[in-house]
Amino acid sequence: MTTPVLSVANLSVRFPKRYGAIDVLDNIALDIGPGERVAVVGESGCGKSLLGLAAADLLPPTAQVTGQISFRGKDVRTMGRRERFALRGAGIGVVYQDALTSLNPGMTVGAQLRQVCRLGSSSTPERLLVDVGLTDTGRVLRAKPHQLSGGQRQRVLIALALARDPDLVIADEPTTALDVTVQAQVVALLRELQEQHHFALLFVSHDLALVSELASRTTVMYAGQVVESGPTTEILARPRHPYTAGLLAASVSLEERRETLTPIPGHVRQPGEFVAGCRFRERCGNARDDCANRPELAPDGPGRLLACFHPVAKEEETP
Amino acid sequence: MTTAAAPVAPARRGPQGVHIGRFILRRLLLAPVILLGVALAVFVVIDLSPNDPARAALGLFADAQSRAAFAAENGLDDPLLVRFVRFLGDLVRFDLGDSVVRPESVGHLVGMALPLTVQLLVLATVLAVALSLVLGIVAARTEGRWPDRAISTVAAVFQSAPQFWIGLLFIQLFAVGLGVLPSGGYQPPSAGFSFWFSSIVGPAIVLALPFAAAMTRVVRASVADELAKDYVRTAVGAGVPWRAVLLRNVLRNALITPVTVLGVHVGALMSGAILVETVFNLPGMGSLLITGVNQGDLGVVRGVAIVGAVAFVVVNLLVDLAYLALNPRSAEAAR
Ligand SMILES: Nc1ncnc2c1ncn2[C@@H]1O[C@H](COP(=O)(O)OP(=O)(O)O)[C@@H](O)[C@H]1O
Ligand SMILES: [Mg+2]
Repeated sequence: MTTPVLSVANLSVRFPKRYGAIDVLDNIALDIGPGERVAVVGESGCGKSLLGLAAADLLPPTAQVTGQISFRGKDVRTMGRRERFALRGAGIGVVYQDALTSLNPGMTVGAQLRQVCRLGSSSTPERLLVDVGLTDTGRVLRAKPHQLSGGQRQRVLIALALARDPDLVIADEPTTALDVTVQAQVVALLRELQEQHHFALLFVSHDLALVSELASRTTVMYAGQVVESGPTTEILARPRHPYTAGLLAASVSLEERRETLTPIPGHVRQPGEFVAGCRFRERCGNARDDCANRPELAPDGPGRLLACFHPVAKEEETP
Repeated sequence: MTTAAAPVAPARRGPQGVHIGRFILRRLLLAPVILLGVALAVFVVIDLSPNDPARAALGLFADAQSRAAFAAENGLDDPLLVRFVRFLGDLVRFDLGDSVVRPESVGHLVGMALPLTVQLLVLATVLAVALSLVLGIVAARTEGRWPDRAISTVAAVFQSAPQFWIGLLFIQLFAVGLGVLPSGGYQPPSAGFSFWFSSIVGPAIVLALPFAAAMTRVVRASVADELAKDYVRTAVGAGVPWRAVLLRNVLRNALITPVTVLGVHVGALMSGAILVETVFNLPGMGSLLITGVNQGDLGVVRGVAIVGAVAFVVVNLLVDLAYLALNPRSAEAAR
């Protein structure tokens, strides 16, 4: 087997000042092979952005990290300064969630692209903008971020992430701030760029329907824990964790356009209020007393992992 | 590439350019109006003073007749407005009138005193800006740790300490104690650079310290704020080296607030110069003003006040333009 581009194991993140000994990310495992497209799904507040930032070694200094994060088989956290530095941009490119705040308001798009391209790139700022589907590149290069539309800004952010030809691109809900038609365009663009450049893609989203377009494997997270993972088609067709089933019922499928949406009752708690055991149990219809213990992530059929004592029955179709 | 091109946002460059042009034009048109108001205020306040120019010129024991003759000769009994217009007329010809005590014209006296004060102010500003930038950035990068605490504490002390006290302490330490700097007096640049510099660097430091302390705290807060922003993570995550992130990406945005604060401090710096010139016995505008007041020499007082006010207005205009250059969007906001 080839070494994964990114391998995360036993990853836990705490914010001691704010949440004490609570694992805001709890024992996360995730592998991404070269050129593979993997999705991380969960409601907002589940720790998806934290996972993305941890993988890119960009967590704020207030975060306390334990576990392994390996890039091409080398542990990121034991790397020397130089290696770690070389990882940024050239090894891993990140498309952040909020394009407006993630671009420098005081610099032109051109200046921001140039300073990154200068560090080593097979492309130029103009070519990058064309690659991400922007026309009128001259004007965009001269513009400050606030002079562009939301979709244009997100494309610029993608261009920045790709500028140094990374092996892995982490796209953190790159479409949440956009309206639906632009969302679909950006997802199509990411897919197309991935097929062209063959980078591995970690796609973070709260929308299972979007994921089906893009990722071959999906990991479902709830409140900082992995609840289920496996091939995307399998997970969408036969969700095993009640949370996944709930997400699916609540999602507007792009293909089926289901008539009724059933939202999951309640909301994700703040890390300070996480319950012990299965963190989903207070919102779960299948919960029993034994859910007060932590269910371990264990194999559940070919290529699938599940952490649940009372999963959705196998023969049952999507609820 | 088959993906549809992103819809092009309406071009917003044009209107913004217009805003900036209008903003600058308005500030430039406003400046003469402010200057006129300032000139009037100075004129009226000094006119209201109980000092009698005739008595100052002719001495305490001059008789009523010669005082009246002096008043008539100088138009002292004309209505206020007439005298103000005459004063303005002189002013636009750079004629500040005569000293009633000394043989030289006010323009001449100001011309002698102004270079020293300008050197003092410029040097103090340069020192304060340089010091506050370095210390503010170091404090921001070590937020909460000991360098930050040390810098913030020292800054707080110097910001609240009275300037004359700092001045006296400074003289005691460097002139009397260590003997490395003169305790006062001025050497013009023509006396040689090192003489000039050692005569002015001490007063400039004393003048700069409270200003530098205030600016350090502002720079620290502003840079720390900016470093916490998402775009810094974008640059760091793309592999941009720290120094470049700081100097090329962060500083420009972080300086917007300090530049406005700079404008607020210009007035304090100018009044500080009066004090420092007195403490260090330097023959600048401050000393000229103080002697003018002591001798009841209204012409001199008025001349110094006018020049100071004009300088104040001009410097504030420059600060506004610098702010605009750093933050073009403020022109839209200030509409
Ligand atoms: N810098 C931080 N300090 C403290 N807590 C944080 C920080 N960043 C994120 N969190 C907490 O971690 C949890 C997960 O956040 P996030 O990863 O942004 O979720 P998601 O991206 O899935 O919406 C949130 O409850 C948030 O409060
Ligand atoms: Mg997020």
